[in-house]
Amino acid sequence: MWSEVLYLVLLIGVLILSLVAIFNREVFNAAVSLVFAFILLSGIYLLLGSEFLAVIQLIIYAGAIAILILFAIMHTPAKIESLGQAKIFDYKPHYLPAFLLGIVVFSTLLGIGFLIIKEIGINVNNFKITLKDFANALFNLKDIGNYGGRFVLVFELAGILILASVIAAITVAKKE
Amino acid sequence: MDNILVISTFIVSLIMISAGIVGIVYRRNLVAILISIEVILNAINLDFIMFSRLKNEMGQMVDGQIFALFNILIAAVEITVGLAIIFAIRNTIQTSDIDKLNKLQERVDE
Repeated sequence: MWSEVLYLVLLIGVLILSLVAIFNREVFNAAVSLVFAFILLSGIYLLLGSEFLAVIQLIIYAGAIAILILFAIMHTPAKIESLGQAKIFDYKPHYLPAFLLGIVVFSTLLGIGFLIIKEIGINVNNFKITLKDFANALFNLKDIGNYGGRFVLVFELAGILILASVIAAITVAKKE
Repeated sequence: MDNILVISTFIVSLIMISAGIVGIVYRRNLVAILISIEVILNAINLDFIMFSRLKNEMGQMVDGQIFALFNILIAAVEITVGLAIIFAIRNTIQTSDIDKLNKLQERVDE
């Protein structure tokens, strides 16, 4: 009972913090609310029964990516977007296409998602995914079940992708 | 109670995805656009983990969570390259406003 209530509270908190992170005019406040949305999302993952992804979320998102975003905000020239003196909401020509695009995406994904939910039915399982299961699926341990080692190639390619992105970031951002 | 939780999680992640797409078009700041992309990727992660709970086999559930793991990795790569591009723009044009990034545009008003 109380875990469901906690889950709904965390979900509403994530929703509000994400909307604040997207639509706040001050970029610094948006980034801080994004960090808190990441932390609440790791709580949701914990309640959904995947402790490993909760810890990874805390380390990578709330640790690394948040620091990177705050670092970038402090090093780029600060300008509050479209600070109107008299009007709170001054219309710009890209506002209407943005919201139309959002409505189209929302309704399309809503239809597809409810078709999928109707197809597979809602019966929530009670499996516990531990670190050993992740290692089984990623690295093909000795005591595999029937689902071992299918993601070895993807894992190696991910390592190459990270190396390429680090080299690209250093090459792009350095001063001549 | 399970139905309410699954449906509400799905609705919340849909609102986050579409709000992020609105934010990509709506915002004029480069860092704010990256924040919108991060919100979209988090909503997709939430969907992956929630839908993996609906599978009735252990291996399929691990599949969904491994997709979420690789999605986190893609987000880290994307934020690294994106912030490097923002720093390069900071070094050359000294701005973070995408309305000022119109050097390739045809000048018709002068």
